[in-house]
Amino acid sequence: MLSAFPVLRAQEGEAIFKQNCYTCHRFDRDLTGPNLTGVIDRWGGDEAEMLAFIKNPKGYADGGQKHSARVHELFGKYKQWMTPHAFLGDDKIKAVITYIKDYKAPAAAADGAPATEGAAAEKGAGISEDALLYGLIMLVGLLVVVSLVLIIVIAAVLSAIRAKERGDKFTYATLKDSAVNIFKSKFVLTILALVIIGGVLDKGYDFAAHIGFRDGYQPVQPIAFSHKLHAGQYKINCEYCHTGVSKGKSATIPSTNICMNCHSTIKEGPQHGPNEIAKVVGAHEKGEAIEWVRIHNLPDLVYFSHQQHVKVAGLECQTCHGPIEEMEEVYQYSRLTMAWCVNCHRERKIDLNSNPYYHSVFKQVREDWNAGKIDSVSVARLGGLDCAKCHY
Amino acid sequence: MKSKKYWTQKEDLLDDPKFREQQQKEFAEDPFEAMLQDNGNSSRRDFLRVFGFTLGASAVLAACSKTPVKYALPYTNKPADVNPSVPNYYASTFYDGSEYSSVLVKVREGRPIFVETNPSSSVTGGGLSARGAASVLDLYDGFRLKAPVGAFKTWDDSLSGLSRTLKSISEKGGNIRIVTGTVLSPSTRQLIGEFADAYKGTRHVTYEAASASGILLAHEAEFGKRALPRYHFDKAQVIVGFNADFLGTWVSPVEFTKQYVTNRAPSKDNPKMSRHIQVESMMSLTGANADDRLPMKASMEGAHILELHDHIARKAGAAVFGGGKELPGNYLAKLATELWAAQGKSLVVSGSNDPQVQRLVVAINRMLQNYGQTLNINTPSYLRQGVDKEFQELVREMETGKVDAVFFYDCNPAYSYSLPVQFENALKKVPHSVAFVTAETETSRLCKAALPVNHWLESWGDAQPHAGHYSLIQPCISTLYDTRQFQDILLALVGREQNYYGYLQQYWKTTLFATQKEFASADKFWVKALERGVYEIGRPLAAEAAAEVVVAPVEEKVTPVAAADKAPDNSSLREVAATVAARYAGRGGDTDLYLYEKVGMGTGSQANIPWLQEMPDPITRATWDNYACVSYKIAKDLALETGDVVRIEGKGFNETLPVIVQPGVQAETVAVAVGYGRKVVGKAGMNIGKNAYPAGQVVADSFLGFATGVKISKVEGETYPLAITQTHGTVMDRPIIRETTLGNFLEYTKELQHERAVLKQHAVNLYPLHERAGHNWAMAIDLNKCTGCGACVVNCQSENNIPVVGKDEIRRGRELHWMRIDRYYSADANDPELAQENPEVVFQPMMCQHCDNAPCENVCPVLATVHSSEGLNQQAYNRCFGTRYCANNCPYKVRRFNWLDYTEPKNFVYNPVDNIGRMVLNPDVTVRARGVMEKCSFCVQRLQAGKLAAKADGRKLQDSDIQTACSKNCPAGAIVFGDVNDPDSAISKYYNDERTYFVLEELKVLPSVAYKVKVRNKVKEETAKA
Repeated sequence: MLSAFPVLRAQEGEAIFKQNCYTCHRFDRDLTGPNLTGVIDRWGGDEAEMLAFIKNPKGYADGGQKHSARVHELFGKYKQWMTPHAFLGDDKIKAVITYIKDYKAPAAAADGAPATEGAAAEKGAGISEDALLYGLIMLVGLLVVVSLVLIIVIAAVLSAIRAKERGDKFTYATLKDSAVNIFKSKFVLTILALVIIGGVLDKGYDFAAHIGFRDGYQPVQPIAFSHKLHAGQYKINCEYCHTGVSKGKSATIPSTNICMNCHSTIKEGPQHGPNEIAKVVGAHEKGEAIEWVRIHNLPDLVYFSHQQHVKVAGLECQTCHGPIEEMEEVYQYSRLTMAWCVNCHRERKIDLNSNPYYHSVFKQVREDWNAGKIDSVSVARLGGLDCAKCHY
Repeated sequence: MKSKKYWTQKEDLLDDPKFREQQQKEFAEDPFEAMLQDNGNSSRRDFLRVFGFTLGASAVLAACSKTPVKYALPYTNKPADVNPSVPNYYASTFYDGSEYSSVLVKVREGRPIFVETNPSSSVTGGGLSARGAASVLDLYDGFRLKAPVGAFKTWDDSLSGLSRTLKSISEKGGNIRIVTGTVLSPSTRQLIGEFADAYKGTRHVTYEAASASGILLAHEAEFGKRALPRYHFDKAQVIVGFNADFLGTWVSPVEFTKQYVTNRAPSKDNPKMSRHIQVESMMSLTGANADDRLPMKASMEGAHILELHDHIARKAGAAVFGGGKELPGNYLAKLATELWAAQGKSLVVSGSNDPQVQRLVVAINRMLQNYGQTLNINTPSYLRQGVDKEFQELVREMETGKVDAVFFYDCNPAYSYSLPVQFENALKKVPHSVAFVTAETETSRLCKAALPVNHWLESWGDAQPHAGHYSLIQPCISTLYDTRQFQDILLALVGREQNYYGYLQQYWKTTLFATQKEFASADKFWVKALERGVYEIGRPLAAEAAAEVVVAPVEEKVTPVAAADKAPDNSSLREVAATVAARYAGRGGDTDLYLYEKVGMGTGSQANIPWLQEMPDPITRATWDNYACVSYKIAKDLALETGDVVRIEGKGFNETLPVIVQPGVQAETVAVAVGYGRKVVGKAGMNIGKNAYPAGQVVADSFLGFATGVKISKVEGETYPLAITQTHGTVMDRPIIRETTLGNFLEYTKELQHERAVLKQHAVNLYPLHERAGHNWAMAIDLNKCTGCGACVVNCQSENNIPVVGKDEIRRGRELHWMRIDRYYSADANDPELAQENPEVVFQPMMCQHCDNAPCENVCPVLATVHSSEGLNQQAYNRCFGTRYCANNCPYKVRRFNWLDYTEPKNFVYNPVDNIGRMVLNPDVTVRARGVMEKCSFCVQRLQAGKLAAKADGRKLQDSDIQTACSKNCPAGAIVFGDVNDPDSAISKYYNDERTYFVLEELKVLPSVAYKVKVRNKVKEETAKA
């Protein structure tokens, strides 16, 4: 086996660890499973024993092995057997053990930060846009006030001139007549009518153009599940729960048995105490599906694949879903309109050296690109704007 | 070549002025007028009312921006190997009692949605018939039996009641009979044996609507083995078929098609092909593909075979019997010379069910040294096991009250038996009768009880189509209703704790495990066999799928067919010849009624599948009916036109049927398809056509499938509008079909390529050509390999959620099939009489050609149809608003318009629109709404999925990643699809060779579908016309 597959490197060990172990094991505290600092010493540095245990924990414990007694003690503490990990294969488990062995505590608060940067920046841009809008409204208001004042002044001046010409006295009544006349004049009425019609049309168009836009949609969910807590504070990998995200079209709402991986022991939450978790446990025990309210709804005529965007293109979840790790309750961050999709396909650049698939298919484009004849290759250049990419 | 004329129907051939006028219209009728005529009472006011309401309603609706709240329900416990949106494939086996295919079932979220071929099988790998593809719809059929009916109301009742009854019968020394269709499953045969041991007095009788009983008995008489030989059409250079539709319906059409086409595609380097002569009563699919085709009266088949036997016997120095009948032009004598020259490389087959006739066929193949070469009795086929005589005997036993209990499983004799009244009366005399059915049948209604059994997609099982070849059936969905497997019921009745899944495993892990040395562990052997779906003795399981690996012949104990406990027929061949000469002397002037199976409908067991009802018959292009195919001569004598009605009277048969004047039918013959006229069936099959089975003659206990001396008369003043799909769309003297003979092959192709080169030189483009930076999808269709079977049509329908439109809509010319197979007749234009009597036939699959200069794209006012960067002509349904300009401008007439809302159950009862039926829909393809245009997309959903799979794995795209539904399952491998920009793809090597041409290339629309010239292997002296 070892000769057939090269030994995986420590970085890969880290990735596998994050994916499979991190949810229950940390290096600074006990969680669903024990703190891993010092775990190698606890096992007396015997990697073969660790491997056997990780592959089949209960089998190891019941098999009368070297560490069986200690493992049984741990079960007494945690009330739950670790999931068997034989599916990973020996090489990957060995890579994880190597990673645990070589692990050094990082400088405080280093990990997880990059993921939120982009989102924060985008949010900043949003606020400045708002300010601009308010500024504009104030400017328009100011202009209206100024023009009203101007009209009154002009009326006053005109009536004063006329009064002088006729030799009449300049009174308030004549000023009023003259002002009213101005407002009754066809010119002014036409202007006013145009402004009003224009305004209504503009608003109407704006309204019509936004029919079906659902960004900001934040329904109340049947269970007060907090992404801020799970993804933000505990840093559980998104894919741990949304298992389909790199496998197929649907990212999938996690099946209840995934919740139970942790919540068969964790029965109380920091905000709602036992109440909310009890709903999950109850649903699992009764075998009922939890009716989550769907937030991101693409029309049926659109085919969108998470695998394409997450696994192939390597996009972060936050690019489309926003700062999910800060959301107490999830809302729709992006507009999810066709314009929004197409815009990204126009702008996003592809690294043609990244995937052997492109080597054969876009041979000429890749050669030109590597030779510097083309600056960059966008998704659109490779057919990303074809109708049948999404509609069929 | 120039003198040859192509036509689609008689009026076209004869330049009928009315037809020519209609032809100018391009579409079948004025669609708008037809729409207003829908109910006959629409008026202008109705129109305005509806129009006004729609306008108002849409304005109100548009103003509401509230979107309904949707929910997402995850699994409570997700099965480990099910990932939403990711399909799983399970190997299984399709066998409907007449057609066998090893298949892979595509399952999405636990629902089977598509059946495709299992490439691992050396028998049927590479192809799947229309019936196989359509059987997935059967699973979701609302008419399925959902709980026990009749004498038993619950399963507990049934099982305890049955076992009590059986026990008392057995103890009293009574008789129990199990009547089944052919049981391909070796474990089930063993189980039935165990059942017979447990209940003394049990006998198993095999009944088939279309048996090969003649062949079985002939081999028993000649070889002492009651078995069907395994045929190898790929090894034959000269193939002669007598009324054996081996490419369409006879024994194992998918397998035979696969074999047949291996020698049918000549190339520059190898300008050779096999020669195929078909002698038949009705224009069959096989006859349409033959190099020479001769009409023959079914009631004289034996005499012609006897004559051929004698010609060959003279050459072989064997006994000559005399009494045979020659075909016109001494054709059989010439044929004998051809056959004699190809000894050991020829094959003569006959569809006759008369054992005496089949003994002559055996003798012919023996003299030609074909046994062990092109057909093999040592590795027999188990696809037909029924012997007509045994069922006849059973009926007689039942009549005399000797039978105490009878079970029917996988057969429907009340419908398909030639003597239905006799059967019904006999069954009434049996005190205990139980039918095990998926849906109620004519037989189950006559039985005292009917018990619902699983559909094959819900079942475990195995199959043994040929000696040494096994395949497994595994459930792809849990049972939809309260049904059980027949085998589980037997096990329960035998009193075994074990279920059939365990029984099956045990059989494989012991009996079959012992036949291999590859695996040391029985568990591993079982798992690997289940994964591959097939196990062939002598071929390693672990090796990657390689369909071309030859299986070493296996000597097996051949005891497939239930023995008759009787000495085989030991009359000498001379006596046989005398019987045949007397029986098939034929009387001139007598009219034959010939019964045939349609490719789509077969024996009628799948009559409730609307896809099959709507599949156009390859020859007549008619849907949703059976009809009398009358010969040109009879039509002339009785002044019949297609659409007239005739009364056919024969022994036990008296029905009126609509007429199709069918070229190629023998002059004194009327042909009617069986499989129609079901009386107990769901709504799709109800009241469709007439049951022709009772018309069949029973001679010497064999069902011969024809009747002679029938009376046929015109029903004056009555007409019947048949739903025929190819009444419009004629070639209009354009070179749509390119055809040559093998003798002229090299010369013709050289000329053709020269002509094309000249065309190309003069090509001027108004628009800039499309850039193809990446993929460039294209297709090539070999007209020589394509047999016209129509499997692609149904496979396409299943993959692409194409609605069924029903009989009325087809009559209006509104069929929605994205793929159609055009059938053209051709013959010497100077002789319209001969042309109508026996023309040649060419099939041409036609679908969107994905033109690079697509005429449809230029005329769409809303850019709903545009070109993709990969060469696809895309159709964006949500953008289309239905002007139909594109359909008007398409030179190939391949665009289809959704005239009605086919998803609405109250409009269209045939479509799978209820909650269960909708499970068959492919979730990756939009269900189109009313008022949009649709057409072939080159299965773009498969292209997208294939590309994504390659990208996700980080590898180059392979041909196997991206097969369209039609190319994947074409039994002939006539359709090749792929990326022509990829130098490693199959299509790039195949796309442009000497046989390539494009349809209407002169229009310079640059289509992406290449066709390959049709070649016929004609003998120079033109024997056929003599």
